[in-house]
Amino acid sequence: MKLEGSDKVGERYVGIVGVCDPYTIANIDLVTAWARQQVVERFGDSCYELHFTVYGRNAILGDREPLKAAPGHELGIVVQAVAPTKAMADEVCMIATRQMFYARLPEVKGTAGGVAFLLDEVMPASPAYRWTLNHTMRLDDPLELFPTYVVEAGYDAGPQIGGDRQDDPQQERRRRQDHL
Amino acid sequence: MAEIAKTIRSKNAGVDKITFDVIFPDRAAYDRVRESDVLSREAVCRIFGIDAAQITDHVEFDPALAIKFTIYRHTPSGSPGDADIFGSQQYGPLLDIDMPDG
Repeated sequence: MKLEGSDKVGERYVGIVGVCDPYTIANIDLVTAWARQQVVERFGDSCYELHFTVYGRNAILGDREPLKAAPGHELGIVVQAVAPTKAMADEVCMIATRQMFYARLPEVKGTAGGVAFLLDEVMPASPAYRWTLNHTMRLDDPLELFPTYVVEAGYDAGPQIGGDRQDDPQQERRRRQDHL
Repeated sequence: MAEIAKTIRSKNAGVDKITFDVIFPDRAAYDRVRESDVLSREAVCRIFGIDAAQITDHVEFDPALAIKFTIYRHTPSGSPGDADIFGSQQYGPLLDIDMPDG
């Protein structure tokens, strides 16, 4: 028997920004750290999750990316905020996304916005879940964890719903029990 | 590697692992890669920058002319921040493995 389960982490909002300034690309971790700090100043550092996925550097393999020190000539960064309510997830995501725009690195020549917005907003996404159960159990009888029983309800009140299918496992068990 | 393997792929193996298959078109290519050790446990650790403890299985499967290994995920599939829910794009670093001459 395999038992799997997941737990809701929270509501989720997503923002997307792009970068092509080479100095910003080389120091993108400073930009995301700055944005994260602005969220911390508003909400503290617990009760929510904030993820920056840096496409063009190591979004897919993370630390396992052999080329992470050689990012592309432009980056796309997906910001994910997960929080107990949609309103909070929206605000965490908005702060983190927008503050990347305002992050100011000393060597950057551009002064009118540190990143490029695809949308000047953040978007609601599906709630976030995380696997919490992943177990297997050896059973002698595959049905032993699923006790079944039959209740006769309204037996004489009219025709039965569903009929008496020969291959219905519950009907089969009932017949076997009748012999006991 | 991309030039001599028939299939190079990665995919989820349950909730918390990703498995890789490198399948060869013929015995000669399979043997050449096996004997070169470019896909050994040690090589996999080097390529992905991981510890040996993160490799749960590593097998050379002769009937399929395949080398297969499985590694742990950082977080279970689909957790917030996981950018490869199906583990389907983790094989990139295998494509460019250089084969020794010979």
